[in-house]
Amino acid sequence: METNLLKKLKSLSMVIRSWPAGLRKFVMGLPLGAIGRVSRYVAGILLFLCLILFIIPALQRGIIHVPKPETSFGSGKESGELSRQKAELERTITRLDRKYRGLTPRSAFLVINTSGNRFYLYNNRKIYREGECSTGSYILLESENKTKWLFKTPKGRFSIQGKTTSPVWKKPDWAFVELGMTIPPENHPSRYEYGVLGDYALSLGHGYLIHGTLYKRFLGLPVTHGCVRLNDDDLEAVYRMLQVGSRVYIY
Amino acid sequence: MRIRPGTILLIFFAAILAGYLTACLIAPGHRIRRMNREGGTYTLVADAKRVPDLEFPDLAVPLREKAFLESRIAMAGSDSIGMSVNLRDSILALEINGIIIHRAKISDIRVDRFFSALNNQAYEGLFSRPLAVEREIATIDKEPVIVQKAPRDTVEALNSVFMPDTIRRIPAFVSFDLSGDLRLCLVDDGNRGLGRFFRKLFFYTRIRSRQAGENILSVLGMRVPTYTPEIRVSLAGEDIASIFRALYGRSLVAILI
Repeated sequence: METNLLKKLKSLSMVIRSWPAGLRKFVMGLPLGAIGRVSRYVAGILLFLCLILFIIPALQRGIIHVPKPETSFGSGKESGELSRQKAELERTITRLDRKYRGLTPRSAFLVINTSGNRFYLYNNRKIYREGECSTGSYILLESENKTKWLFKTPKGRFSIQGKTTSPVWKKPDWAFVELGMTIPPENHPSRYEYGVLGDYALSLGHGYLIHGTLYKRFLGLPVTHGCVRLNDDDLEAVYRMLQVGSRVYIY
Repeated sequence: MRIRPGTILLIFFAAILAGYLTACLIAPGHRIRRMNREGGTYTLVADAKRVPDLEFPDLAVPLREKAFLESRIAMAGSDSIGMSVNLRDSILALEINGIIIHRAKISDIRVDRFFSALNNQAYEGLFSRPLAVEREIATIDKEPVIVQKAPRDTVEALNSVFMPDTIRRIPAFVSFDLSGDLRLCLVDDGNRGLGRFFRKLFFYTRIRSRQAGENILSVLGMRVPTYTPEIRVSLAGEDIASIFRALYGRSLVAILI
């Protein structure tokens, strides 16, 4: 019995020894009564917090009185009135439903999910094609002179501003900064890169494009500088299906 | 008999707590009675013609469906992305201009009893228009920005190629405080590890402590605190991230209970 107690005390002292010096000094300096008092206060505070944060909200929900559903079939007059109201409501619902469904266009549009890096091409109110894409990486690049670029794909409603085949990439300043290179002058030949954007590009405005990629293994991951990258087949389908003015929804 | 200062403090504290508890407990009933009398937050239902129509309890189902459609059509008028929560079909969707751009299956639903205590008129007054997101709390970032210093030369650039982390996944919990004093919580239905438990605990502690703060202010101002009923839906974490990151500013929300 005594040896058990001694063992326990020894293990406790080992635990206390492993504490930081300041904490060890504080705890060892406390008289036994003080430790009891402190633990009582801590328990009281925890109980109080539990009461305020969890028990009272649960009680609030629990005491709500929900009236029993009563049937409204009273007099014949009331029943007739109810049927008339129900029929009226059904007609209104049908009309509203038709109106709501009519809001989805029959023409082709593209939906891009930047969190999941997936795209959905719709035509005639049905998904025509879906697959992986790559969108903005959310990297905030800071240059030595404190210029900042945030590589994110904009969200909201857009429309196709223009379509091109065999697009050429005119590299912006950040393309040189992120590679640790000196920024060349505007229109310098080193700014133009051929064949990196795939066979087609569709412009969303403000420099954002939907284009192809050489880095197909990154499709499905957030790695771009804000543009939307697709694989070759998907890009071709999107290029053929969407016209200038077609809607693109990015979220 | 001499009363110790500690005892006085304890009595004072107990009295405040009792007052707080009483005020909190009468808050739901107070709000339900007021809403059932006035017809919801929006008092657009004041016309005398329709009031008797709404008194039939049997009309609850079609009336709610009508309110939901009206709300979604109104939401379609906005150019921002909105959210529709259809608890009847267990579907949460993102919509813009009436086009559904994301659809997520709800795996579990918990609706406050408050909504069952509302009459048709109060329900319609509350849900026939989209509600706006007033505040949000989340365990995930709205924009997961990674700050990166530009490399000094090409050698440093080669050594600092960015690769996105595809393994680490933070349990997603999001709360939207909506106009009309409602709260919509999106809960990650993913793995049930200890990390998830603590995330969830901190998340609810944040929500409840803010609520408790508001309640205390109301009690100190001698007002009945506003009861905020909660709708809690469980979804896949990926869906919660997509939905949370798609909604900006005072986004609109349509709800069907």
